[in-house]
Amino acid sequence: MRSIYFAFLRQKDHVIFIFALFLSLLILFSGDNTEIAELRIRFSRYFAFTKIPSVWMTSKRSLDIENSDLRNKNLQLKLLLESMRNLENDNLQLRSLLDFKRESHLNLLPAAVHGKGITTTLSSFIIDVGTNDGVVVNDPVVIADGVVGKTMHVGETTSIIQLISDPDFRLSVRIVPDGAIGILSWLGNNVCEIREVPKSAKINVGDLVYTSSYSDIFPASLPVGRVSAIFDERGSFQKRLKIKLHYNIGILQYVFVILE
Amino acid sequence: MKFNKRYIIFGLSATILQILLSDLLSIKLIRPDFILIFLLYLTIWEGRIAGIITGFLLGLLVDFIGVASYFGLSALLYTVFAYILGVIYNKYSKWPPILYHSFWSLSVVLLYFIRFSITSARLLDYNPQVFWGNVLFSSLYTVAFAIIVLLFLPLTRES
Repeated sequence: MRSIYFAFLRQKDHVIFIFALFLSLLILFSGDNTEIAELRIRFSRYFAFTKIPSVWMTSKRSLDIENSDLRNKNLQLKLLLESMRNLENDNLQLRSLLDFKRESHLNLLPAAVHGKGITTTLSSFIIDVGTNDGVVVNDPVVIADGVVGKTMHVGETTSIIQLISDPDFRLSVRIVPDGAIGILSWLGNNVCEIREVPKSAKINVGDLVYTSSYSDIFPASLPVGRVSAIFDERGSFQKRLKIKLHYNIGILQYVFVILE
Repeated sequence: MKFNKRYIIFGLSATILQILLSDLLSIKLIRPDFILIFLLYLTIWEGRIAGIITGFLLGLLVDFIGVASYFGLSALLYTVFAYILGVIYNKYSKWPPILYHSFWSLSVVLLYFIRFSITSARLLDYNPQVFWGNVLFSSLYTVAFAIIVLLFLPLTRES
């Protein structure tokens, strides 16, 4: 026993390292644990207080409300406009009726960004709405210019959003006018990559990218970005596309949550 | 480890800097990691054990302040970083300067390599240029700030 104790003392830095490593791995692999998720939400709610001075300085409450109403209307109109642009390329009247009906019924909840995490890459936001406002896990988060992410952890008054810039984020998208479907993931610097696009698809730089109808989370026809480069690899059955987002994710202050 | 109040001040300053300034200083969504710089400084001054414990706790703090996925990764990475950096504890006067400074700089690069290997593993397969670009840009950005900090703070008790 004594020898074990002395061995521990001699190697205590390695022992502490192994212990800390084990704990970290345990936490990493139990990230979906509900107790931990609750703790994180609570912590992020307290953390949101640190942003209060800057939020107070940059905006007044009454202006916020007025602003959010206007943005809400603006977004509805922009979605409608995008939808109409989209429809020009498709089989006209039936789609028009369906899409218009669906998109005009999006239930949008405005939210302010209260935190952006402090990891070295921006991959999450903390927003000031939660279950009290009707938000649930996996609600889409958008702005007028496109998809921002989805809710990942939802507390009573705050939620953590997984951003489109999170390396784990995937989105099923459709490239217009061809209509080809692909899977979008983040590359960096407001550029995303779309993979699994059939080689036969006729895609040009500048084509618009929208959410497809295959997602369980995102409604179809939300704007995402614009094709900026096409890679037609020899020996592959698929194309690879780069797309540029319509907005700069780093400077967002307000977003909309699409409620069910 | 002898408890030293200045570490609390430095640690708090690093955390506050990270919270308030990291967004302002971000380039292409990459931010400098002031907490990592503090950890570097602490480990080369106080050794491996202090670094590992502080790194683990600060990593948890970073993870708690709003990460959506890979919760626990920062704690893991800071722990590993402090463990590796423990090698150069008290070696400032014994190692050639180029080796000493290369060691901690490469440790930062290694840390980012592990981070991106875990979070963007697929990227390394199909787009290695972007992967290595992310790793090098992120690590060199933090190393640049670390050099500035280490210019003003002594690296060893003898210096």
